[in-house]
Amino acid sequence: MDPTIPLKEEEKESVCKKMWIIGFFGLPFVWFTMACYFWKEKHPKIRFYVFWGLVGFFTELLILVFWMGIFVSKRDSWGETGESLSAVLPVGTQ
Amino acid sequence: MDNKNEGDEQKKKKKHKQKKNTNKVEFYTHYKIHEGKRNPGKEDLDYIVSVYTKQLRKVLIPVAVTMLLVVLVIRTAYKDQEDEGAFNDIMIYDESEDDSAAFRFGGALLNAVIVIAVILVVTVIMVCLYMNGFDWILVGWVVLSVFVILTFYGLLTGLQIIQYTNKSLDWISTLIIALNFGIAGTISIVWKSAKIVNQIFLIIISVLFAAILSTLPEYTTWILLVLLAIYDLIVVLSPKGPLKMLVETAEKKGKPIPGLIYSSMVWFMSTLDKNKKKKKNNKKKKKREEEKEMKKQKKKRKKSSSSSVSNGSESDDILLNNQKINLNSSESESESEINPIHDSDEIDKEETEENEKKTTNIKLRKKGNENNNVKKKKKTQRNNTKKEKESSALLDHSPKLGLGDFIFYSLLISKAAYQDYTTVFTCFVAILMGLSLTLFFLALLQKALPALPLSILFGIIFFFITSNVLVPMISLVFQSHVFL
Repeated sequence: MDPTIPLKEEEKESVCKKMWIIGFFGLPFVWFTMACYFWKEKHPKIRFYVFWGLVGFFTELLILVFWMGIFVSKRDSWGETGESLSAVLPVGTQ
Repeated sequence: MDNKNEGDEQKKKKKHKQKKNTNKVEFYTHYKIHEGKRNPGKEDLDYIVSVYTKQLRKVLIPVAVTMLLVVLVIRTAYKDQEDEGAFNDIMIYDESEDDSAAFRFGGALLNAVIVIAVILVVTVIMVCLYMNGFDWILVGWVVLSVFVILTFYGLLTGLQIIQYTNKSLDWISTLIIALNFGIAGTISIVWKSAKIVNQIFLIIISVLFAAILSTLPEYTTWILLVLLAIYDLIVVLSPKGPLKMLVETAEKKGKPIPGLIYSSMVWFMSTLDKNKKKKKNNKKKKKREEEKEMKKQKKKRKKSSSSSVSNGSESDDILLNNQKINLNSSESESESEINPIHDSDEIDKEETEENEKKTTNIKLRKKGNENNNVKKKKKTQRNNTKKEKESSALLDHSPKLGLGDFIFYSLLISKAAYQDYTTVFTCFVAILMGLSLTLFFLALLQKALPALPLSILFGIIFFFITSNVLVPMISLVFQSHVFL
C-alpha cells in the first residue's frame, strides 16, 4: 500500500512484468510510468520490458497525436460524424 | 546467557534513567556524541535549524505547486461554478442571497456540523474495521476513490479546460487519455511507482478534489474550514482517542495504515548520522501524514452516492494522533538505545533496529517489552550483513504531509481564486507562512502536530482583510491615479 517502501530485488521482475501486461490493454501511459520507475535497473529482462514499453508508448502516442490532428482539422468537413465524435464543441466560427 | 541479559537490562535501565532526567538535553547530546563533539547548545540548535530549513523546502514546494494548480484550474475551468456544484443538493441548508446574514450563518453552521459529524462517524467505522482485520475494505475504498477522482473528475476538469481554450476534441481520444491517466495514477498511488510520479499524482488528486469542494456555498466553506481546523487541533493534540488504538494496531500488524500520504523526499543513501537525525525530525510528520491519509478516505457526505469522493480529514487527524504517540515512543526508544554508545557498529545495528521497529513500536515508555524487543533485535542484527544497513538507509525518512492538508489549503485558495488575484496572493503567502511556522514547531517540539489550524487561521484572517479592505483600497487608488 505504501509506495515509498523500496522494492526488493526479487520482486522487481514480477512487478515489471505485471505492469508490462497491464500496458497491453490500451494503456501506454502505464508503460511510461513503468519506464520511469525501472529506468536504472540493469537486469536484462527488466531492460527488455522497459525498452519495448517505451517503444510501445511512443508509437501509441504518435498514433494518438496523428488521429487528433486529423480530427481537429477535418472535423468540420465530416458533417454529422464529426459532431457526434466530438467531446467538446468549440464556440464560434473559423 | 542470564548474566548477559541482566547486564543488558541494567544498561537499559541506566539509559532510561538518563533519558528521564534530561529529556531535551539528551536529544541534543545524542547528536553531539554521534558527531564526536562535546559542547552542547548552540551547535545543536544550528543543526536543528538547518535540518528544518531543508525539510521546509521539500514540503513547501509541493504545497505551493498544488495551490497554484488549483488557482489555474479554478480560473479556467470552474469559473462559473461557484455555489453551483453537486454538493449543494446534499447540504441541508441551501444558501441563497435572499436570506439574511444571520440566517445564512446559522444554516451554514448546520451544514458544516453535519459534515463533521459524518466524518467523525466514518472515522470510527474505519477504525473499527481496521482493528478487526478488515483492512482490505479500507484498501479497496482507497483504490476506488482514487480511481474515480482521477478518471471522472479529471475528465470533467480536462473537458472544461479544453472548452475554455475553445479547442475541439473527440470522444475516442478523450476516453483513451482519461482511462490511461486514471489507471496509471491508481497504480502509482496504491501500488509501486517512481517517487516523482507518485508525488505528481497525489498533487493532481489534491487539485481535483479541492476544485470539486470549492463549489460549496460560501458561508458553508468558511465555517467548515474553521471547524475542521478546530477538529484537527483537538484530535491531534489530545492524548486519547481512536488514533491511539489505530496506531497500536498498525504497529502490531507491521503494515502501514492504508491511506494517502505525500512523502516529499527522494530516497537517499546517507550516513548513519543523517539517517538518525532526520528520522527524528521526520517521524512526526510521517505520523501526521499517515493520519491525514486516513482522513482522505472518509466520506464527506452521508447522503452522497457511492461513487462520490471521500474527504478524509477527520480520520487523518485521528491517525495523526496515534502516530504522534507512536513517534514519541519510537523517539524515546531511539534515544535510550543510542545514548551512551560510541561504537559505530552498535550504532549501525541500533539504527537498523530502529528502522525495523518503526512500524512495530508499542507503547510510550514501556520498559519491559521494549527492552526485550530491543535486545532480541540487537542479537539478531549482530549477524546481519550490510544488506540490512542499506535497506534501512533506503527507508523513507522524508517529511510527509497528509493529503487532507493539501486539500484544505487548496480549498481556501480556491475561495480566494473566485474573487481576484490580490486575494489569491495574500492567502497564498498566509498559508505558506502558517505551514512554515508549523514545521518550525515540529522541529522544535519533536512531536506530531496538526498542520491545518495555523495555516487556516492565517489564511482566513488574510482573506477577509484583503477582500474587504485591501482590494477596495487598491481599486480606489488606481481610479484616482495615485501610484503607491
